[in-house]
Amino acid sequence: MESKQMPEPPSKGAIVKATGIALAVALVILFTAVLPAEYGIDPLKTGKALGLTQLAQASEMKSKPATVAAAAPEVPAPKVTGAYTAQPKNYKTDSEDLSLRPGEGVEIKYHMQAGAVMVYGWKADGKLRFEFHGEPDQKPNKDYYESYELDDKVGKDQSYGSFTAPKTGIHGWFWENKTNKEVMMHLNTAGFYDSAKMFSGDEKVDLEIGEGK
Amino acid sequence: MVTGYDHLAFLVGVIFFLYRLKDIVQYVSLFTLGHSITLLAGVLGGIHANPYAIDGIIGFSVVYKALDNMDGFRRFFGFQPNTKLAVLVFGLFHGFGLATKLQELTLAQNGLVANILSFNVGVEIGQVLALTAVLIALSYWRTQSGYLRHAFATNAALMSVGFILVGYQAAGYFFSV
Repeated sequence: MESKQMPEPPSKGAIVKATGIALAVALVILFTAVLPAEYGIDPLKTGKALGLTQLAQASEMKSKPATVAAAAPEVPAPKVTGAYTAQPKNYKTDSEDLSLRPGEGVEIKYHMQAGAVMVYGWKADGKLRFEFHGEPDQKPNKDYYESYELDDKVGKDQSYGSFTAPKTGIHGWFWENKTNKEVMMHLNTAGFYDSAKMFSGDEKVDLEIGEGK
Repeated sequence: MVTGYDHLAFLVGVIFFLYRLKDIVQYVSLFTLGHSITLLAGVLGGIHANPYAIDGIIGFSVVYKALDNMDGFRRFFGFQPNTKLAVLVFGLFHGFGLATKLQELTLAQNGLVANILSFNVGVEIGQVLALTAVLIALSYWRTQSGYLRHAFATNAALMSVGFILVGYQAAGYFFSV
């Protein structure tokens, strides 16, 4: 190459040695730091010693605060008083069974007023990548949305929780099946929403929702 | 999250021995051309490559370029692969990586196509900014007497980064399916 200007070309031995050292250093860093921090895989327990596995747990934790709280029962839950919101109308319920072919994505969203609450649970027989997000009715542009929870790397086969709408608008999930076989999914919600929509490809369907009993 | 450092590692390798601005612009343009083609094709065609596989190849490209900089190919195989072609080909792979990342960033399907172009422009701007910083650092370093002596070790370090990226993505590939 015209501009390569090593003082003297390195010998074969030097290149082999450098490559070997580079590989060895890479393996050490991978197993002591990268794998613990990224995936919580900690074969040498160095990740724990350095506090790196917490990084991997932190990204897990963000998405399931409920399970984390349940895992530490010895800490008494904070006593919340007067924390209810009266609503003029009864809550609604919705239950959906979906099947997603490999590569297929589907979206279900509920229209809620700011401050309205919904409890939800979904369960699938395979991992689904998903994004829990919302689109306010008043949004700066057509494509605007706010993301609440994103798992676009590994995906999950279940998720449960409660949700308080930060803004008036539609809130819900986009699920995508990135596995190579069909995934069946069941979603249950109950909350103070007034309508539900399903988006699948370019199709938009109004879902029938039930009255709370 | 900061992404794209793998791309930068590769580009640092590419410009490591380039002194003339003309060469740098040429190589970086080839890289940009390569990844723009596959970024647009990937997102518009909805091609879902396995992100771990693609990012693994990107890690490998860093190893390749570092070895190239260490003169490994001439030493061992007696020939110098066409460096411009290599940059273009790896640019194509990097584009697939970006396409997959972009499709995952915007999981909510609305406005996907509209976002591609601005995403690409954003990537280029970020890349030019980062490369400018790298160039300033490299140019200063080149005036120091130790530069050529350390060049070999620096490329070995770069190679190590490449191996880490390959291992990181390989682990993701095997543990996440």
